[in-house]
Amino acid sequence: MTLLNPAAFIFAALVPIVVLLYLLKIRRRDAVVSTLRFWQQLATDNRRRTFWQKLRRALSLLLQLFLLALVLFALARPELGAFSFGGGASTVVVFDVRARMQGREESGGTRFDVARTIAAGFLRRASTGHQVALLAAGARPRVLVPLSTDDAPLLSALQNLAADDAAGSLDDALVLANELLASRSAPRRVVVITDQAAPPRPDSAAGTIEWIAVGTPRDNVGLTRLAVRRLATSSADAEILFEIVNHGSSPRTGNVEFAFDGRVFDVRSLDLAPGQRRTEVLASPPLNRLPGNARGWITARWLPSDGRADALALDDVAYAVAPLPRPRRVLLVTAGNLFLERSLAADDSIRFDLLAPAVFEPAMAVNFDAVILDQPEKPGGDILANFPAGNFLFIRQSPVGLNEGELDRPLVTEADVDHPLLQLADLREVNFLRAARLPFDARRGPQRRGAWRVSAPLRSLDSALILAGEREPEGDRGGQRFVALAFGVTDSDLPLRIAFPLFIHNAVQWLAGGETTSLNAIRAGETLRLRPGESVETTPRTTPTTEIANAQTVGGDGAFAPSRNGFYLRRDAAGLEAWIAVNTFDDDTANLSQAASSATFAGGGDGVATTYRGSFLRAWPPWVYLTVIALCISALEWMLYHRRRTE
Amino acid sequence: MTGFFDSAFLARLEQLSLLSRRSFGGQQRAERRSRRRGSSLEFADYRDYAPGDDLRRLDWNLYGRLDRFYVKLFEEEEELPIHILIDDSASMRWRPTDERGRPIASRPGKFDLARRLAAALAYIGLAHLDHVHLHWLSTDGSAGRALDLGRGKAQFHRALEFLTRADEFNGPASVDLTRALRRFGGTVRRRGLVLLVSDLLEPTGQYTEGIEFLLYNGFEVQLLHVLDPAELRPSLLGDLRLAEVEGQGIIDVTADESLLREYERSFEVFLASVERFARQRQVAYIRGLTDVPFEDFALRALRLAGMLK
Repeated sequence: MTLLNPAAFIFAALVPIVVLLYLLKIRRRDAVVSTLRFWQQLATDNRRRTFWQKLRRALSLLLQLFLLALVLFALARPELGAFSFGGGASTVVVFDVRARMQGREESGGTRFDVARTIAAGFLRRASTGHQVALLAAGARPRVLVPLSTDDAPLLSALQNLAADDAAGSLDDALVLANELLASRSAPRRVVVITDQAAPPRPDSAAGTIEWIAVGTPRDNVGLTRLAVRRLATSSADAEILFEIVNHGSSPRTGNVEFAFDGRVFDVRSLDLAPGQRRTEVLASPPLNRLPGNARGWITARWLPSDGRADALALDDVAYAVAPLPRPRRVLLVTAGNLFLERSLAADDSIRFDLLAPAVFEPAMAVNFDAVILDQPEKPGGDILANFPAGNFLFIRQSPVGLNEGELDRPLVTEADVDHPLLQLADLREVNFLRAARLPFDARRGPQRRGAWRVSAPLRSLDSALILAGEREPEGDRGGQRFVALAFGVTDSDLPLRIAFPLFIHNAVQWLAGGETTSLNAIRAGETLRLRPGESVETTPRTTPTTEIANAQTVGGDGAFAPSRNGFYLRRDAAGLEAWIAVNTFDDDTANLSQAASSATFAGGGDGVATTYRGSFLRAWPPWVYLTVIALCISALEWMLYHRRRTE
Repeated sequence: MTGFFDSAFLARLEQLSLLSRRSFGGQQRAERRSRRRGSSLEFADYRDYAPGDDLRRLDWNLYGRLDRFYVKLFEEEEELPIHILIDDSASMRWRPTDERGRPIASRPGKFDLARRLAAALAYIGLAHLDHVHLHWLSTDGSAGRALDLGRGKAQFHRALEFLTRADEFNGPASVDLTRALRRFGGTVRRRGLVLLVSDLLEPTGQYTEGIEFLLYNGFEVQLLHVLDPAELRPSLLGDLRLAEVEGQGIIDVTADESLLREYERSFEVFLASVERFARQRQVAYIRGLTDVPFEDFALRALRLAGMLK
């Protein structure tokens, strides 16, 4: 045992004062009674008990002296065992805040609560001779309070702490703790409070590692995977994959309930043997018949048949986002073309803006998936080398230039029906009145011009009626595409055919490129780097009716690292909204069946197994208990005095 | 003192009369039966006719049935000498105090209760033409400490005046109950009913001798024991210096709950001894506490105790 403040015993000088005060004569209150006859009789009886009276007085004095001794001892701040470090000691408390700490014990409390009580006992021991730091070990370790002699900020930080939904490893936290202690003089100590069993041999060369493991083995069933992907055969259909595992010691029966935007659409009954892992695939609701405000939230929820709650409720719910078709943004530059406007307006997958040719600037193209240039033909040369940013559909124009003269009533001689532009759009029977001559020898097939690869999917003999160009991404510059029509829309009967809207649809989809599904699912604790202009709300939603007042966002070039599971709203630079599903999805987190084992490691050697008992007695420094005992004795002395057991 | 009672209460008192187990020979006719035969309307007995008897008293109906002369005898109704003895010792004038030493004014003192009792009993006696005497108990026999009220309600104002001016006669002083009762018994010539109003808290603890002296001398004694609840169950706690109001004694006491319980037990023993003494000597006994409403006590409790009918 060590006394951290032995100077407190100077107050032992108060003992004579206590004795002196005790010897002072009692001042009695005067009272007049009608007769003393009965009082005298009692006083006579009292005098017979003189010996006991003396004993009672001695007992009172002893109680008061004992009280003073307790107070002095408390002021001296005694410490026992592992806490009795001398001056200059440093302790880093590594507090596990990973998702598995949310595991609930038989008593009803979480492992996190148990760990917090233990941690508070260490933090309260911060003093001038004993610096303590608090380090939270989640997906990434973070220092909550650096080495401090004041327990107030430490306890405040601990009080505000909550377990994350993220998985992770304690190794990084141990490294960080050792770095914190590296510049400190001995004795140094790292206290790890977790529900994970002590590792075989952590790096304890720099100081003692006291590994305190909380929790008891618990059964748990958890969803460890949930993913949605669109089928290659149809953009409207998607399939859902989920994985569930029973980490318990007994078989479990229940349902996994699937909901789309909060509405249940499928339920799977499962019988899970102990340790069994099941992976299944099911169909998602069709994605092409959704209302305009559909979010695409897929929620899977494990519902045990017996209604018995899991040890870890966190992994009973999983979230995913269905890849909803995104409308293509098209800029139609025309002086007036009713066929094009109607065709674009009728296509649900396209959202277009109309612009007069006079105000069009090529720089506008970057904000659209495709730009349709329907304007009077302008003779010119090859501009492929200086092609503006964006994807273009030229009508009676071409980036490769136009030759003099025009084709008179050209016939379609060849059509590349496998080309994406002509998918389901048969243009072979279209009658053309005239067409421009494009400087492209169609008989030679696809040609490479600089960085561009140009082909003619629709040809009339050696002339190209449609040109399709594509450039691979290069450096900072992304891939680009163009389509050039040698004919005007009204120079043929194409607008009167069913193939016209199909062709326009194909052209826009091809120009816009493939479905660039952005990242819509990450694990809690992972970092999502945001692009310029992009932002993400920092508060998750778990039900469609969740309303978030004053939602905070991170944006700019920052990074987003969510610590809670749920759906997060993401906005790109153009203001388009998308959802990100965040889950724990960690098998180690779902497995709570391991027994906790505590150990103490020192000098880089093997650990000595310890049993952390008496958490209540260790929750506070000894001086607190001494003070409480002193208060109890004070109350006892007061009670005895007023009940005349002492005088 | 006139504020003691209202007219309605006095009217109810008139319907009561003092009970006496014994018959005392009065000097004047009144409403109380005596052992003597007289001329009241109450039939008492027959006796054989003797020459010289008043012919008006012959029972002619009996003569018709039996053919013999009988004379009807009637009871004589006489007055009852009543002596109301009031203890006005210092202990009777004692008033309990609260923890700050202030007198408790929420209830009357023992002395006030005693005076009201004496006034009510005197009124009952006067209303029934009994001969009522009021006495302040006196150890030394000072003048003016007794009042012969005579008979009739008209004398009631004198009783009130006498009771109101109590301090002129005595004032707070110690009274030796035994000596005072002996003096009373030795000086009063007419035997009768004695109504003793006292707390019996003699410093010596001796109260029986004086009463036994009166009984021996032919008085019928009825005891009205007046007490304050604070005497039965004191609320004094802590370190105290107790002074006796009547004697000179002072003692230091550290009172706690257990000591007060012992006190209560001692007082109960005292009360039990008083009741036992009264029962053995056939002395009508009633205990009056100052926190009991006076009208209830006077009209109900005294009747239940057999002192009034």
